[in-house]
Amino acid sequence: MTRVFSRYDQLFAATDGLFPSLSRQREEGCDTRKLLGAVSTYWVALENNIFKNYFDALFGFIPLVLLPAASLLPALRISEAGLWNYTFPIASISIAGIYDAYGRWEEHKSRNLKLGIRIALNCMALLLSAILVQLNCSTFVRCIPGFLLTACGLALLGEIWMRVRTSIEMSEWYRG
Amino acid sequence: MFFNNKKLSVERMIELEDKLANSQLAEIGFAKTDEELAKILNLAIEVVDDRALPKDTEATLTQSDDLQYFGLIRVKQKYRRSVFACIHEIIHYVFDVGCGNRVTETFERKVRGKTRDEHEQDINYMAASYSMPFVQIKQAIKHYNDSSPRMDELVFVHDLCQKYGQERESVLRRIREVKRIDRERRERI
Repeated sequence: MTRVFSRYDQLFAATDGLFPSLSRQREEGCDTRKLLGAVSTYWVALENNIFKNYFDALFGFIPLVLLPAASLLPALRISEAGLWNYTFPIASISIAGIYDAYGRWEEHKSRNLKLGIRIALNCMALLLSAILVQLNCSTFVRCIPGFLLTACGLALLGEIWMRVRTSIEMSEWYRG
Repeated sequence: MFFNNKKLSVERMIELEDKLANSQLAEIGFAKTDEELAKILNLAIEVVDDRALPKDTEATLTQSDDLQYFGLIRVKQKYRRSVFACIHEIIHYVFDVGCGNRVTETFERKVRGKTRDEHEQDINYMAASYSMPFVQIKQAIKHYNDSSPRMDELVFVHDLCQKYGQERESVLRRIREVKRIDRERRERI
């Protein structure tokens, strides 16, 4: 009986003795899906919401979602990146995002990790906006700080929508 | 399949609230578990296999062969944890049979309360009203509205779900009903 070994199998056969953790991982199944599931569960959990109520979420939509998405515009519309037409708008939005996340920080709360990730992404966008202006790079690369800020904002959309939806569903005028 | 689920008018809801408030259930006490209530009213609860009852039925109230019980509530295994399944049948017993009387006919609750029958809709409403009493929900809503800064509405709804053992949609519907009834009563004054 012949058995066809894939290159994957051959690789693991060769490395089985050298890297036992890889073979154990292969036997137990890929953990990536479980990790992604844990991240997703953490992100949407009630106790990790960063907004206090639906007012907070509604008023936070413009500075935390819309403006960061608008930070892509400087990168797309300018022919040459400069301090005032590129770095300044992106840096302003990043600093605003950092300040907002810092303002929501509370001791010993599980949501602090979420806020920390927002701060980190905003800091990266701020740094990149300062560095990329010095380099002669393509439009796509110039848009990276904008993508980071937009991702920050989009990650909050689910929470904002959930709050607004709940407040509408609680209203006596909702004919659901 | 769409049901013509004609919603209860506010006037009808107020009538049912008053009916419940003047019934024996008000004397026994609101928001009791179905087991406690069945014990007080001398009803037996039997958990049956899902195939023992029709496909579109969650639970039934029938006459009991055991003479020590006035009636028998048969509930499907998968709906045993649903608060409404048995409470619905108990409401049937209180209002259609009468406390202290033996059950002689069969009553049933359709899956998720989907029914076109107006009387069944009334019973569904009273089951929700018993499980989530008007006064308590009104007080919770007042506490939420008066909170400053405004309470987290997700936590508010979640806490009510935990307290009454209900699903989110049931709690939200009950909140809306209580608000409408309260507004209508204030307008009448």
